Amino acid sequence: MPNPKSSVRVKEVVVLTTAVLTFISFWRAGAVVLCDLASTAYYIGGIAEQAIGPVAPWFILAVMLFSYCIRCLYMESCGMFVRGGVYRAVKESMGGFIAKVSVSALLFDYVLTGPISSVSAGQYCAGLLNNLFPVLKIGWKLNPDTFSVIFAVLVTLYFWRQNIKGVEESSEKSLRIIQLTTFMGLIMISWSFYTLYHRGVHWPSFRFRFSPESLGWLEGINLKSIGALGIIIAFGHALLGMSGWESLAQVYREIEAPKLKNLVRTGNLVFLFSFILTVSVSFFAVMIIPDHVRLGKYANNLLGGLAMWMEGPASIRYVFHIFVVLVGALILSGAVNTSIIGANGILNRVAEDGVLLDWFRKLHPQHGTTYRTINLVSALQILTIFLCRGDVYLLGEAYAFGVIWSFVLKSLAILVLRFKNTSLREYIFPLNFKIGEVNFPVGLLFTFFVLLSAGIINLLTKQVATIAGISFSMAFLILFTFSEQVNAAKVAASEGALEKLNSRREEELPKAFSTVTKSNRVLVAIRDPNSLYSLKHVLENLDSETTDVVVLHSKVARGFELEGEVNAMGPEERLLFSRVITLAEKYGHTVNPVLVLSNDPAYAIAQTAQAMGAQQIVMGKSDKLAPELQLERLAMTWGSLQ
Amino acid sequence: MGLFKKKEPKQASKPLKTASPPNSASSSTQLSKILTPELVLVVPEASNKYELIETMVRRLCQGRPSLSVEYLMDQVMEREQGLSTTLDTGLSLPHSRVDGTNEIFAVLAILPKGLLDTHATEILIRTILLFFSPNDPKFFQSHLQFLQSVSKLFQPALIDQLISFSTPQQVLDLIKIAESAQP
Repeated sequence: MPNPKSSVRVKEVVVLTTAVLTFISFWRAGAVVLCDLASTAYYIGGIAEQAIGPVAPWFILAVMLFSYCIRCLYMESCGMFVRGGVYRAVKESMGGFIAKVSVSALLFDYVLTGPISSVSAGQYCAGLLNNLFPVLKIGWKLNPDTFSVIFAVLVTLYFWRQNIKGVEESSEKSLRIIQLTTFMGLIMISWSFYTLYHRGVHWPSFRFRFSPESLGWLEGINLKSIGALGIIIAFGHALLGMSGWESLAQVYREIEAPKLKNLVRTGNLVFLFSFILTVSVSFFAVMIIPDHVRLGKYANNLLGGLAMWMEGPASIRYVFHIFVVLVGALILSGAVNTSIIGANGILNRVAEDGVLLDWFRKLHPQHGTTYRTINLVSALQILTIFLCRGDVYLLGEAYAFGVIWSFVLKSLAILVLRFKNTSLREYIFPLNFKIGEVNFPVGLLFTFFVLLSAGIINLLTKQVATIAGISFSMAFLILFTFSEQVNAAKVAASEGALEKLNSRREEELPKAFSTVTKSNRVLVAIRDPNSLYSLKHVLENLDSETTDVVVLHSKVARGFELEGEVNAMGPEERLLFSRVITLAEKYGHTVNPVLVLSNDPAYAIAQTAQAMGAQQIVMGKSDKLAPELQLERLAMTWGSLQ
Repeated sequence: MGLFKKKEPKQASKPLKTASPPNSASSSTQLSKILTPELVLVVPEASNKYELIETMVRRLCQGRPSLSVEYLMDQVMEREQGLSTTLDTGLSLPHSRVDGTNEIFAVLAILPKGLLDTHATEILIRTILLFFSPNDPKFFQSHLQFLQSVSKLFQPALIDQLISFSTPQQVLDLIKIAESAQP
């Protein structure tokens, strides 16, 4: 055992425990995204039909098919930037101002996601209770709109509190919710087929029926003479069905290796699941629930109506109705939580860039969370819930503003980047043709023009959404611009965002490696944040099933510094480990970062390697010393510690 | 000009990757086999590390006309300017890789009163093992294994015993026993 009194031995060990260092499978990643995306199946059918009439399911089908293009868009973006959300992509391609516009639109998306999900869940609960009360011989009747407002506020307050306390969103929970939803969906689909077998199949009509609200400022125009316009209007009203893909960008950093392969799997899983669920719910609801019932009692409660109108005994239908509502409440509540986390995340991201006043970044004294941004988002959501008075249709129309314009800007950003940044892409949006020296990204162009057309038409047809969306976006744009001016001197220029690092201290080295359990162990010694090629080399070739990686930085502290109090994690160390985490995210491999204080890096490396049982030590070449000298010193210290 | 030619160490162009951490394989050179009583010095008093190294080099070259004192001194002093060769166990390992040899040759000095290291002045050197090994890339792994094995061998407890001896033969005998006791 090494002499504990020696001054060159490791004096202090700091282990980083940042949550992001754990990576998740594509199943869990898919579940996290679907908790946002798939929840729209619960309300899109009713909203679309109220807007465009019996043809709604066909347009939902078209939108869900088109969502494959959105999948491709996000995959190209994530392949370029590990944290490849709208803000990053737009900023890289079109600069800071447009990026602020895109964030404002995205925030509107997130702020509306919470209310529409929670109000919709409230409508389902109210519908269920109103169905059950007569059966239970209770003479009550709930006002669905009032009930849904109260329900939505309570759910929002609950998740507001959870986020203030910093309770981490669990991918495990999302997985369970989606498994339950899958089970519910399988029953719904098979029972619907059974019902149609008994009653006969009546496909949804191709008849349009636009309401005055759904035409907005275009009311009065004869759409029969401008056929394509009617189609675009209808498409715009069904567009809500593909909201939630931004969550893929948020979750990509956590996807395990092989990163791109798992991203593709996640994208395919999300697309297939949401397509099947959303389209089948929309079609079966129209084919099974009689029109007058569907458009009246079950307009905001389609799945509940579907459960009640299936073929079979009433008792089983009631049980299934309860199950549907329970699953709906879970998945829709999950979407509320995702919206608060997403909005908080994007506000923190822009705050790091200096585009939001530092006042918003103040941490909660007890929980350490950015409580002011969480308060802001939750307050806006609760205000929205009160303003909408439980009107799911109104919420849906408003919600679409944020969805469509964040997609428009995202697609434009990726399109611009095709010409601005011609580096090799890990994933490329399909349908690209080369004529001579010119590349034509036909697939991307098509997607952009469809989205832009729908976005422009939506501005004209959704009056409330347009006024609210533009006002909201302008308000945030002003706030961001003002903040940027105030923070101009404080913006951290080239280092980029520093990771939020959590750590614990250990007195002895062996205690720092409780999470190192695999049979193969590699120690990577790092020093320079601009020179992490040794770590990159290891991560590129790593089999994370069998091998643990410990990333060690030895902070040199001499003499009195070793004996007294030392602030181990200074700005240089924070930058170094932020870069380590970025690299680990890029390759989707978990690493165990450790910082030690010692006055001899070779001793620190040797002692750490022995304490963790390393079979390999990987070091970068020193700028000042020949590699042979580094190896000799390591061999000597290794031997002396045995 | 000395018999041994100076050769510049090659610079690695890729990230350095060690093999598995060195172990005390039986294939590594055993110290007791390359030392003789003539190559073990018990130095009652020493004030300067580099003067002592020169004395040790001269002892190494005695009876070996093919070895050049000046050349070996140049090599080892150049190496001493690099990373420290002293361990906090009290062992110092001045060394160099040289041409014209296919095996390790060494001389050992025991310093009962100790000598402060010039690099790390808080460390008291009590044993100096001066050695030279072949400057052949194929031998580098064996060179590292030798460094590791002698570092492992000369722990404080062994050094405490060695400095209590007054004759080279006693020192050699203890080293033989210690080496055979190692796995």
